[in-house]
Amino acid sequence: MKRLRQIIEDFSIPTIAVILGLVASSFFVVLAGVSPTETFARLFCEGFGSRGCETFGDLLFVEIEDEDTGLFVTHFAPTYGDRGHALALALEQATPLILTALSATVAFKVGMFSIGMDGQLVLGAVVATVIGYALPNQIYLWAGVEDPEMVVGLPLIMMQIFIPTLAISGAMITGAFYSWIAGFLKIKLNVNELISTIVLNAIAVQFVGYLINFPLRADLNNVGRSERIDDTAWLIPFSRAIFEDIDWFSGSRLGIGIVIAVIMGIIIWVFLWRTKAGYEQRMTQGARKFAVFGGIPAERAIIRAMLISGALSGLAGAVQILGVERRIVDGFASSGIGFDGVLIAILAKESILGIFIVGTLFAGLKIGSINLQFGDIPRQLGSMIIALIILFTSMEDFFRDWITRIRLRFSPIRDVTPEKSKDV
Amino acid sequence: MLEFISTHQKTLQRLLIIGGGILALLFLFALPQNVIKSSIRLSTPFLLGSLAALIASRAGVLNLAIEGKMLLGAFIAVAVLYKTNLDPWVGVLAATISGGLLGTIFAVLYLRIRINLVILALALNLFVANATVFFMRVWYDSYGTLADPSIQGLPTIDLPIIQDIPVAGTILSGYNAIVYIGWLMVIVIWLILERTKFGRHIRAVGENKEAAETVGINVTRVQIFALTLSGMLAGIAGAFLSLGVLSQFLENMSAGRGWIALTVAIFALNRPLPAFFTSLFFGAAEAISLYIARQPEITIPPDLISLLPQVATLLALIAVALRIRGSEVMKRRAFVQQFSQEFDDLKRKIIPPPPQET
Repeated sequence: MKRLRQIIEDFSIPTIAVILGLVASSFFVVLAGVSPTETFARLFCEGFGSRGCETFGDLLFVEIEDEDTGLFVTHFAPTYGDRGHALALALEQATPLILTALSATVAFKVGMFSIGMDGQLVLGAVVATVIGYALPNQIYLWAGVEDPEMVVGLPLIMMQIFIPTLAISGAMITGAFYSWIAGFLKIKLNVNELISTIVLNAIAVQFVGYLINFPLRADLNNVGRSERIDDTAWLIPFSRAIFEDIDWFSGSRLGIGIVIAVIMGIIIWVFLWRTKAGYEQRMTQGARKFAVFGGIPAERAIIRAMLISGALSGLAGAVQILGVERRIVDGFASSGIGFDGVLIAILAKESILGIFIVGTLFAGLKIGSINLQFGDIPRQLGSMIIALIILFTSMEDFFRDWITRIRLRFSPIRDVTPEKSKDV
Repeated sequence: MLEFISTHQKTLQRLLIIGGGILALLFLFALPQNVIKSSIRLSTPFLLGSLAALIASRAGVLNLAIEGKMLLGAFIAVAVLYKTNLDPWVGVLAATISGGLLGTIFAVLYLRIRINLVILALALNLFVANATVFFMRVWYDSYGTLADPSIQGLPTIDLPIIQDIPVAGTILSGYNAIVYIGWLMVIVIWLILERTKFGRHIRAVGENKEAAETVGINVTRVQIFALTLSGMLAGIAGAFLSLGVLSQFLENMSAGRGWIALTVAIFALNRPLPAFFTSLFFGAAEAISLYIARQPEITIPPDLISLLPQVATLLALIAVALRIRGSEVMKRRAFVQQFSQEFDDLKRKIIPPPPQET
């Protein structure tokens, strides 16, 4: 009974927050002179719906006119994948977000409010790109292969395994190093990690902008961009390989990345909750001085967490490049994937399962709001909704007090005072 | 290292000041006058922003929402003047009020509803950054920039007596009013903090909340006032960004200046006058990078040049940390010294000296 109530409470607060966030942002939609219900229905359909989705109900069951017979057939929308499904697109966009959110969670779980995911991600992405096109070219040069198409059989498979692995590890090491700087500054000099990571982000983004526009620039395209990665380095999307017959994936570049993200999610969960290192880390988050007193090497835990967090961000960059973008374009650096990851980690309240749910929701909202722009609503609405949802989610203590008070009003015991929320 | 610093503290301080002075003089002679003027101009948002940050920090709240408040001020200042033919001062006033209002909302959400400070600030910054663009598109139907010929920038003011002084006159006068407001605010904030009852309360709350509460200071009220004041200053800084330079509003106009302002405040150990000089340094870094970018004979890519202020910020952060660490060590040492002195005195008083044998 108590457990059930706990679960209801855990789910009710985020739900209340989401609903309140939507209600509050509908105020702004009204200001823009559009009907909120229609706007939100479109927003969710574009983000999560299948073909022919127009109202909220279509998110579950959608009626489609059969082209041959002219009859209307009802389909279960989440699995109805004719001409691609928006959810696949949302998952594609969510992959790097989930990885950066995991990265943020690891950092938060040691008490470091690091938001340096953006810098680590772009540096990782650059390293992955460079390895992705320079290394295969070098190998072809050594082997004396003139046409990459000629490589078949075992060497090809070897390269297809070897090169992405190398690119990803290079990205992870770069990200880990960049994140280590902030951790080192924190433990040695007590530099506020929030400010130092913001500055480090700005440096990395500018530097990568320079790299893309000057040394790595491949052609005289208007927007600076690097060379495309070699096909052997490509993490081929499901719609091209493996599941190419399933319509659900068509039109999206969802691929191995999501599998990597899920595996990483499980590893991070085990690390945080089932290993000694994770325990040290959580103790350090709770009370650093107490942890040190209890014999926990808090500084080592912080450095370790920052290294893991940086590696995950670098991985996110590598997955985005190797799986989706295939080349790094000017503007990728400032796309803010890392910061979105931080927001997801905040919203998910550091729960791993929550990250996957919130990450998908987040990506869907972003896609939906970009498509709204073809109407009268600027795409900034999506981020405004997210900001409001974050505000309402973090009013948790306030809501808890409120729920307790209501419960007490209806409960027979009158003389129990409401539990005081803990001081922040 | 620390040993060395602590034994030669005075000499090192003097060396630093002399070094800084020489560097400043070199700048004055080496750089053309318009670079110096532009660095003073560009330091204004940092100055006002850092004053906003330090007054909040002094009240014990790390105000991370300065970026958002600045952006809101910049937007409101232009939005009020858009096609209304009002005096630019109305825009500045509106920016100040809106910044103050956001500061109050921030304070109430933080202190009454108890939202985590960092999360609250990040959410507010995100909201303002997107809401300004949202309204720019919805209400004014403009993309990227909000500009109109009817929006007048703030006029340039020549200070009456100072402008006649040979060299300093040209450097010190000929800015728009907000630059002077910034200078004035340094004094005003110093006076508020050091010479008024309200300032004493702010400092007391910042030093020790519980102690201040026991003495009967209304901690929440003091913090709300401090955050409102902080928001107003950030709002003026925003008005400078939009009305002081180009008299238009751009998407994400503050571009991280709020965060740099926080670093400035930390570097200045939350004191107004050092904040003035530190913001001058950051303004100079920005002005020099712009100057180099404009020189045709120097072919450094612009992206690398705009790294300059950021790297300066990082180095400043490290320098601040070293400075704070040093001053902590110094304090501890002084405390130990004093305490051991008192302890010795006490020992002498309580334990009678051994009787002298005759």
